[in-house]
Amino acid sequence: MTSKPCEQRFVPAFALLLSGFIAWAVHFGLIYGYTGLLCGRPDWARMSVGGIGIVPLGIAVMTVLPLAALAAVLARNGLLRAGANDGEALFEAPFYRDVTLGAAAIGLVAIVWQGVLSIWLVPSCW
Amino acid sequence: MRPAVYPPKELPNVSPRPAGELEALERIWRAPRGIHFLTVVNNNYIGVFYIATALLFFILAGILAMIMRTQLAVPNNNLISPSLYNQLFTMHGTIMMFLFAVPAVEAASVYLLPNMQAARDLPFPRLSAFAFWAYLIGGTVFFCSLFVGLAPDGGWFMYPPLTSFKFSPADNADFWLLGIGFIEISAIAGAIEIIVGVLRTRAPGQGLDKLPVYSWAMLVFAGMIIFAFPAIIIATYLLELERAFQWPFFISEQGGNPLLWQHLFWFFGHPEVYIIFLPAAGMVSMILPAMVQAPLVGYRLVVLAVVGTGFLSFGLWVHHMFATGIPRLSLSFFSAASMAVAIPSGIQVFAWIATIASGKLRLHTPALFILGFLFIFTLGGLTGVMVALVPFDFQVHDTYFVVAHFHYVLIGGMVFPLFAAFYYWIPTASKRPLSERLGRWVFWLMFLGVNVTFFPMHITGLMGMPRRVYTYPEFLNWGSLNLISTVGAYMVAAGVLIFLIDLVRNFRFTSTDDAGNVWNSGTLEWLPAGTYQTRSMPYVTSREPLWDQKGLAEDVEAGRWYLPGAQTGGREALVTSPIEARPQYILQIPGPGWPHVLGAVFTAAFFLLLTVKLVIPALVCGVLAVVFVLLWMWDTDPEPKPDVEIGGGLTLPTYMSGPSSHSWWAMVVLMLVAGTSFACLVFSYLFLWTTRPEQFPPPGITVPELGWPAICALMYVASAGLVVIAGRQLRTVPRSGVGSWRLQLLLLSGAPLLVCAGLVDLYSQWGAGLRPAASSYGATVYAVMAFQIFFIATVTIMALFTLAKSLVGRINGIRRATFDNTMLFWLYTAGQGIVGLALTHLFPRLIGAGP
Amino acid sequence: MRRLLAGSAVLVLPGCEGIQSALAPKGADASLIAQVSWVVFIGAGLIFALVLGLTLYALLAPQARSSWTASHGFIIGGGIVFPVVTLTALLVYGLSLTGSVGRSTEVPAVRIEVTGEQFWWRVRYQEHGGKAAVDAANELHIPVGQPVELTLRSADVIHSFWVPNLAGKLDMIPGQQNVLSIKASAPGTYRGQCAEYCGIQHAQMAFYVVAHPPEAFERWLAERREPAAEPLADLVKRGRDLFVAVGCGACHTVRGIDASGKIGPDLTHVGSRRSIGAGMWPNNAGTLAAWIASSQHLKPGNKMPSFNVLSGTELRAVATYLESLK
Repeated sequence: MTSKPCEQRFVPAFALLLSGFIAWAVHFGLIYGYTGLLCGRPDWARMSVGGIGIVPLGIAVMTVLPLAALAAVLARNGLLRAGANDGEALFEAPFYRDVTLGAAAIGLVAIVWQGVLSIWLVPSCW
Repeated sequence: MRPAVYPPKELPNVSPRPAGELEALERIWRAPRGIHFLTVVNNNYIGVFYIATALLFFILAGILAMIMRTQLAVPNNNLISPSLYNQLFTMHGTIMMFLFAVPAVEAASVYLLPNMQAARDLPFPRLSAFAFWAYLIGGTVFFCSLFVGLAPDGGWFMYPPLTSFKFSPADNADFWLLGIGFIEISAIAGAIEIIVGVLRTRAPGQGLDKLPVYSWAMLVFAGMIIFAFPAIIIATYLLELERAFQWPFFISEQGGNPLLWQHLFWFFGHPEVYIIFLPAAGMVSMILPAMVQAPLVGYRLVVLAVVGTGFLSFGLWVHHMFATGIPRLSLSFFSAASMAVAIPSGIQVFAWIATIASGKLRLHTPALFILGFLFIFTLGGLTGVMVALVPFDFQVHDTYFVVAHFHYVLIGGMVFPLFAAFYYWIPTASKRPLSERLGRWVFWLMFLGVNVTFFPMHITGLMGMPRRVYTYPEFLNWGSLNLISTVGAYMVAAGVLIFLIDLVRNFRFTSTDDAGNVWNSGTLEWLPAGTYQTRSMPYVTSREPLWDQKGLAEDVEAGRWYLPGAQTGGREALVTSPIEARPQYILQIPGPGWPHVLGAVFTAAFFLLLTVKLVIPALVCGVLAVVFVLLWMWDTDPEPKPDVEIGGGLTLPTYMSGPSSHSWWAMVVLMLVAGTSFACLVFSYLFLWTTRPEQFPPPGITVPELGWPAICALMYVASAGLVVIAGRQLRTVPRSGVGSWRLQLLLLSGAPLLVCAGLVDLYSQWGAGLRPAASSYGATVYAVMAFQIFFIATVTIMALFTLAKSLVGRINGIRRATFDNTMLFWLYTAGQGIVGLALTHLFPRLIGAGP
Repeated sequence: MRRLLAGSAVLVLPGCEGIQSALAPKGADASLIAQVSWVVFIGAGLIFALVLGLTLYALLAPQARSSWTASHGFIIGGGIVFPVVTLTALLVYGLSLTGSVGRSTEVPAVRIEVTGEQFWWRVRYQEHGGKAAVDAANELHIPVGQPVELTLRSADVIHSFWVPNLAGKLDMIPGQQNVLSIKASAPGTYRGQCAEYCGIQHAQMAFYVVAHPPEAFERWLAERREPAAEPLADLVKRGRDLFVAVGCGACHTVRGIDASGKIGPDLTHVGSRRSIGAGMWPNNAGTLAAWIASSQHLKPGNKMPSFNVLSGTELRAVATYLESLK
């Protein structure tokens, strides 16, 4: 039997496994809520900072944050370096390692698609 | 006693087993006979009944489709009236989604999961049975509304204002709202069962990295239900409040917004498609390796895909609303997510192709259905990418192109795998497998039929034919394409008919004497089994143990693995740890009984009587339902027995409370459901505020003085404090003791505080002049309060129930799961109350509406 | 495939066939979307052939030869890399059009309000150039080659405005107004239909769009501003008097006589419309009479009561009067 009751590490372990998708979900919720809130108020949506509209600017900031957080979480658990690490022992096993990194990769693509392509190609609140 | 060695180095038990061990196991798990057969709870029985009922609804909804296809076969047809046609398409969609697809995959997992994980049963067998009975009764009555002309006719998507009291004054829409609301509860009950079942009742050693893909799929499926279904429950709650009491959530003249419904509906509705698809994809990943006689290629990638689909499918809901006039930037997020969800599907399709290449595919009927699935589903997926393109969707949205698209996805993605599953797994439940010869007929008729029916619809849609029309004029030349579609539909029907003939000829139900491992499959459901499932529980070192662990089937059947008998003398299951599946404790599971059956009957009666506005009988049935559920609960949380050895020196406790116990896990999942529901209410409030800020609050309405919410919040905190103290106090209550008066006193004083908090808040809003029927602001504030009061009432009943158990000495420092559950739900309710106060009192001040 | 060809063959035939089809674009947006459509149809066809081909290869090729497809690399290449590349391209293509479809930066030549009602379309040409607004129903006239701005509203439940030959659809939602810019590229008559299920007669809620050369459009609009034609023949006069006497004016407006109801369609120039019953039948004295006498039988659930109190000759008189309102 393990010394720690397993349910205590189940939630953090499972969350780490899914961290890429969680980052995506947080990003999606943030930019959707932000756009909905601002586009409902034309006065706010028209504001700009340094010539960049407040809507695309906010989305850009909200895109960087979850990606940075994801990178930090993965690095902290030693998943961004090959070979040995000081992170969660479970995540040295190929299954956990590969699924975590795969989730991060798909999450990254989805975040870039919705956070970068959108503000590059689509006018705000139109 | 031998020292415990785990993981085992040798077989943990010796054979021959003691005389009478197997007989005792058989006696304990035997199904009751005669009229008492209705009280049966074992997953082998409930699973099969459940699947059979789902199949019945598939056929019924299919018949409705045939009537519609006949009506549309020629232009200007008068076969059925517009009103009947509208009821038919509403019922066809609703039944296929709510009474066939979701229950069918849930039913299949009730049957399959314990088998695949070598568990004796699911952890809450009576809950499965309750969900089944509620579904059977509720679904049947719902269908019969068609015969009295009261079937809902607002489309399966039920958009208000068309479905609200003004434009649909009759009871038809209520049948949908209450009937479906109630079936959703049944689905959530099943989802809780599945999550705890997948994570906690597995074969020893069956860690997350060795979990069958199907179990992964069901875990994600259940997780999605937990987060998606609350949205539709809240939507139906709000629309029913609007219909019954004129609370204007969706009425724009009073500050409401019809789009609120669409957001809530599709936040459920889009994940729903993947909720249906994932279990079927999981089945494919199980069947294909058996047909190829080689393991699935890319297990990790497939698991990644299954989980990824679960997440990304929550970012698609607005792609059903592209044409509603939402800002284009917002649409682009949903367009991007709709593209992203194609990646996991791509991974799975290529993993299946790779698996086919890794061996020799034996073209038995299940394999044919899987090839058919690949063909149809790929086409449906490609058109899915098309409709994710905003400009393209502007043309094809709500046309027959979309009808074609989603029938390709749903029939390809769900019905074909399900038929593969019937042909593949029936030998585990029947003395004879189904006929290969008839199976080929079934496959070809269905495969050609589906393509002949739905491929032309792409063109019909592009040629301008909208959905949900009972007829069309001749001069638009849609006639020939529609006729082809109708012919195809009859081909599918013929295929299904032959399948039924095959079932009648060859299906002979058994839980003990099945046809055996006819496909030479590698997974645990093909172990020899009785009603008690496998004789003993193997330690698993592979994903295909029957291929990789020599002699496994014989050892399991001879009882040489863990838990070869009924060690506690009753029905029991082995609970394992969630990641690595180490044995943790023996769960004493309940057997047959009447209370859950009657509880389901009266729950169904409550909702259905309410639908037809027989309020008094409905309330009587509601009270009876609560009484029977409490009777059922009275027997749960059994007396702890002495520890038992399951083999190999492994000695396990027979009772567990606290965060390791299955009941704690189930309560946490239930709290997630509750939290998501509440979040949907908060979203509704904020959504109405964003779209109509000047209405929050409407002119002339002031928010109550801050003292009111402060008092309520204090009461919530105090009552939460009391229950926590009660929990501490309970630790000191000895096992043999009768009830603890301190615990009882704390419970008795804590519950009224909650009730007061709820009522004081209600009083303060009413006193400030706010009325629910006057404005959307008032309606949402009262909806939040009513929701909270429902929770408070539930906690009160739970507290009284716990008190009663304590009074008869059924709760003590060890045996405390009942108290723990009450405490968790209590703390949750207090927390929800405080968030609700912040939303309804502080938020309006924050946006500048303070007095 | 033969089916597909048969289908497209039907589409290119002249006549009525293509008047409600996304595959016969006659407007700026519809052409753009048709172009997108063909790109995705061809792309999807190629990808489908690829997947099918690989499946057959995996199934039929000797294992030694097809072993490269039974690998992780194959899954990652086909299931991740390939979709990410193609979908990125597709998304860039789609999003670059997302902002502009249905919108226009040009000053509209005409502004028209269209209101969806169960189960017909209320149309109002807004005043422009100091000329009065004009009410109409179930038919839209627009100038070719000029941007037209449609303001879409609903009077009851959700409807959706859709003329496939001209543009994509846009919903009409109570309490909300959506703006759709369309531009016809060729003169002609097109058919539109409600695309959001709106109740019992959703199937019978159609309308026509007539695109004229700009001068012809101006002429047409000027004629619509005139009040109803003064009846000359006796039968027509009798029809007009009956129209007023039985109370048609409670719901319908006919400018120039004592009829100014706003519940139903404006009938000032009803005789000039192509259809009756929101696109159900061609418009003539016969169908008008049938509609008046038994509208609840012909289109159950619509708001007009059947006027079966009128005798045959009375009915003929009213219908002839309405037909004369060109």
